Formats: sequence, C-alpha cells, structure tokens
Amino acid sequence: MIKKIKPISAKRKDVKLKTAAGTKKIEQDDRIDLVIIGAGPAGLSAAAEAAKNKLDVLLIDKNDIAGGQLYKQIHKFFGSTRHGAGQRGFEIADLLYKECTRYKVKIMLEAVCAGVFFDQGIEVSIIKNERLQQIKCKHLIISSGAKEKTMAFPGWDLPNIMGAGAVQTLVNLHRVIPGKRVLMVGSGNVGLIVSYQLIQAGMEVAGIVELGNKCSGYYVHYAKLKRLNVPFYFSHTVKEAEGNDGVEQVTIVRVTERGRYVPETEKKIPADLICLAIGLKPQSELCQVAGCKMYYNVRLNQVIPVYNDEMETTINNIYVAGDASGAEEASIAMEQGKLAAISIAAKSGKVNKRLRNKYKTEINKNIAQLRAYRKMFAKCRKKDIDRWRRKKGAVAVLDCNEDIPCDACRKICHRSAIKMDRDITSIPSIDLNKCRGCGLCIPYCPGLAIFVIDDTFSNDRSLVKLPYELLPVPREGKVVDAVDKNGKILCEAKVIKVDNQRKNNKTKVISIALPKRFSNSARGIKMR
Amino acid sequence: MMRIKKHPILNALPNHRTVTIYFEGRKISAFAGEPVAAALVANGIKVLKITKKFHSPRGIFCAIGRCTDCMMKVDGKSNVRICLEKVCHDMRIEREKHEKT
Repeated sequence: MIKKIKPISAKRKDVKLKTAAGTKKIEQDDRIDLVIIGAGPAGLSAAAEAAKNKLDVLLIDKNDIAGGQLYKQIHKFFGSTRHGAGQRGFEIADLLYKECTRYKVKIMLEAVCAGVFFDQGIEVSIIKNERLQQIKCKHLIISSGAKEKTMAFPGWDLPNIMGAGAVQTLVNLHRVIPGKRVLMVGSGNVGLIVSYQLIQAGMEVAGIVELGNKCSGYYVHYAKLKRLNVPFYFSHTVKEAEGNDGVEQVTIVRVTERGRYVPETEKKIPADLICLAIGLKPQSELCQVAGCKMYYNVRLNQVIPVYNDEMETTINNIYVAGDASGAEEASIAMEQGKLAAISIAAKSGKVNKRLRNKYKTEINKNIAQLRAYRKMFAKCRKKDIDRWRRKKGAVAVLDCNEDIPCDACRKICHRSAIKMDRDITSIPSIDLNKCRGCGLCIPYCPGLAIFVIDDTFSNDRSLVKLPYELLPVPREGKVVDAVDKNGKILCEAKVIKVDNQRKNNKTKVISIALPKRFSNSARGIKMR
Repeated sequence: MMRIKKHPILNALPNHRTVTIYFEGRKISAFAGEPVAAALVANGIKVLKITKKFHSPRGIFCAIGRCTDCMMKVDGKSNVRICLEKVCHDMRIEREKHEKT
C-alpha cells in the first residue's frame, strides 16, 4: 500500500530523528542502516566498504546491471593501481561487484528512486515493477552520477546527434553502429576516449571540434588519435547541421577568443553522426528534493550540493558521493564512496573514531593527489635517449609528458626502472641503467605511450615495439608502414612479432623492424 | 545489419536468440533481450518519432532513459522509452501518431 506522502517544505534544513514526545523510542529494527542510490563506482565501493564494516546495506540502481557507466568503458583506466589503473572499465565494475556480493550487499536493480522524504528518519520512495514503495533507512548515500551537457545549434535536434555516452552505450554495450562517419564535438578526455573507441569499432572519425585553442584532454589520448591522422579543429565550433532524416552535413566555423564567429571560415564536413562530448553536470536532483543546500562550484563550473570533509550534506545522515557531488572521474568517485561509508560506519559505532580519522586523512590525501593534474600540453621532454645507452641494447621510451594521476607503469616494472619523483601525479622517468627493454610496461600504459627501441637489432635496422589496439592485426612477416606521432608515413617496416599474451589484456605488442634513422620517431603502424 | 562482429577489445559477439519484431508493420530481426533502440539502430532506423508541433524528426539522444526523445508506441502502449525497453518476440513498435495541429 502506498503511504500518504508528507510534502516537504523548502525551509526545512535540519531534520533529526523524531521520538514520539520523547517517551517512546522508535523501533529501530525495521530501518535499514544504509541505502545507497546508484550502483556506479561510488555506490559500489561505498556499499562494499559499509558492508565490510558490518552495516546492513541496500543498493538501488535503475539499470539491470550494477556498475553504472563503467560497463561501457573499454579503455584502460588511469589513476592509482589501488583503484585498478591499467584495467579496463568493465573489469573494474566486475571487481567492485564481486566485492559487494562477497560482503552480502542487498542489490535492488531496475528500481528508480523517486524521492527522499522524512518520516521517523529518512524515507526513500522506490519505483520497482511500476509500484511505489517506501523504504526507511538511517543513512542515505546519494551517488546518482552525472548527465551529459548538450549544446544548441541550428539542426541540433536532428536524429543521429547524440551524447558521447549514448554512442558509447550503443557501440560498446549493444554492439551496433549508429553512423559510419562521426564528428566529435569537444576534445576533453571523454571526447578523445570515445573517438578512439569508435575507431576501434570500425567507424571513421571525420574530425574533433574544440572551442579552445588547444586539446583539453590528456596528451596521451590526443597522441593516440593524432597517430591515426584524425583531424583536430581547434578554435572551431559547430554552426549548423543539415540533413533530412538525420545528419548529412555539418558546418563548422572558426571562432575568436571571445567566442564570435569569424566570417568566411565555414567548413562543410560530411558526417552522419555528431557526438557531443562537451562535459558533464551532476545529477543531484535527489539532493535538491531532499532539501540539501546547493552552491555553484567555480573550479568545476557546476552546481553541487554542499558537503563536509566526510561527504555529509547539510542534512544530517544524507551523504553524497561520486559524480553527484561534482562530476569528476571514477577513481575520485570510488574514494568518495569509501569515505562516506566509513563515516557512516563510525557514526553507527562500527568503526572507532581513531580508525575513521586515519582513513579520512588518507582518502582526502588520495583525492587531492588525483585532482592535482596540471595541463602541460606544450611542454615536451627530450626524446633522444643518450647515445651511449642505445648502443648497449633495447630501452623503453616514455611518451608521457604530463602530470597525469597514474602510476600503472611504475607498479608493473619489476626492475623498478620507472620512477616518479613525488606522488602518482608526477611525470614518470626512466632509469636507463636499470631498464633492459623487456617491454612489460608497453601493454600496461593506459595511454599507449610506452615504446621500446632496440638499435642493436641488426647492422642497418632497429627494432621498435609498440602497443596496438586496433583491427586488423598485422601478421608476422608482413610489410606495413611506420608512422610518426602525427600520422605521417615514414618508411616501410616489417612486422617481426605480434605479442598477444593473456596478461597483456587484449593490447597487442607489435615488434617492427625499420631503418635505423627512423627508430626514434616511429610511433605507430599503418596497414597497407 | 550494422552490428560489430569483430572488435579488438571486446569478445566476439555472443550467440543471441534472434527474434522477429515489427516496426510500423515491417518485419525486422533483433536479438532477444537487447533494448529496442539497439535493434532499430542495427536495422538502420534513425527516426523514432515526429514531434507534435513542428513535425520534425527525432532520434536517440541519451540512450540511458533520461531525454525522452525515443518514446514510441510498443505493443499498443504509448510513450515507452525504447532505449530501456527490452526486445521480446512479436513486439510491435510504432511511431507515435499526432494529428496535425
């Protein structure tokens, strides 16, 4: 039966447990310790952490599979190896889900949270199987994730103009191709990653349009696309999309620094799919419904709920975690979920305060590290390896020039030749005395930015080992074209070996032999 | 059919049970259990509805059940978000009909 729902007033800020006239205690038994809305990275890690600390947890998600958007992510993740850096998104989702089932978290799927009310504590309305039901709980974590922003231009409502997430869902999850030639709008990490995934699925990227004058995502993602000759249109925006039943042609135009169109710079690009990857905004309607105080965060350019250093909002016992508290990134979401779960466990007396404080400082430090990414696009390090070293044999080259929060390569090198100065945000450097060019790090780099050069291969030719994640895979003995970092063909090269071991996790390591003078600049191959 | 059979990262397309569904009376084949939207995209159908006021075509936009651009008539039931609705045998999918205003 549906209970009569009390309307909540906007003024109510602080809702505490009501005891009936202070004489009768509420029966606490029928209330669940913790309800988590959203089973994404934040929700799953919060649920696992809370259940580990002996809390009774119910996890609610709209989809028929727990894992949120992680299931669409087929690229290897950055971040610390603690959060599964170097592993693909769906593998991380599987790991988190397994952890949840191990600690016996109750998971309710295909259920939509319709509202948050207050009646003897917190009451959550859930729609499941077209029926509304009320669930009472002591604590609530809202980890409802983020939604995509969109932009308006003439013709923006035509079919086949989609958000990047939608294209990812169709291509990676449902394995269907919505269009053959894609124009990507936005060169943030989402835009770059999705573009690469579409190329992997066999589609053609007609170009990447970016309003700013430089690429706003990680350099390693940009380099992956640049190697494949994908055109980038910086300081450009979409002016118009034309077509009858779907996009057929897109007009892009150059813009000034202040965002005005530059006349007579229009360019018409034929494309049958426009993919909008222009950022995310938090899906924090549930926080607003509950009456949490919201504010505009300048750093993120988003309206987010106010929360303290334990992820608690302005309303007691309601916590936020993940993208709902500011759309950032999966590793941060996982840490935030953990932090919220530990604070709740401490509040319920399952974890002592000393341990809580220890966790709190540690997690806040990790989050600060993950946020410490600084854009250093123009700065490039010296690429030439010392001559003396190259005469001795194979050596790894790291094409990683940015302070990306990632330490996958450092963890995998068993000779500890790869070093980072400070924390995981530092640029990795290679100790040439220790590196033997084994190439173990090549498939582990999520940015595909590690190569091995061996100038001692033969008298006139060098061996270059490079990562490869595309189809078709060249056969051993075939002749391919070696390309440089801009996708320019350098010379012909012979494929010596294709390494597709299981531990490489589907990233092939291809060894090519090419003339010595090109060994320093070869960064990719092109099939003939 | 526009399906990705070979992929460098994902495993080969699993053997799904193929079922027949009807789009505006036209027979199309789909995989059992996939969303209706995916089945339509696989058959090259882009236009999912014609808007009431301006009669302009609409297609999939968010694919996760938030934007309501993909609402269609499924088995006689109006306003079903087909990006979430799962395919089953003999399903009848139609565009919403609006009288001209």
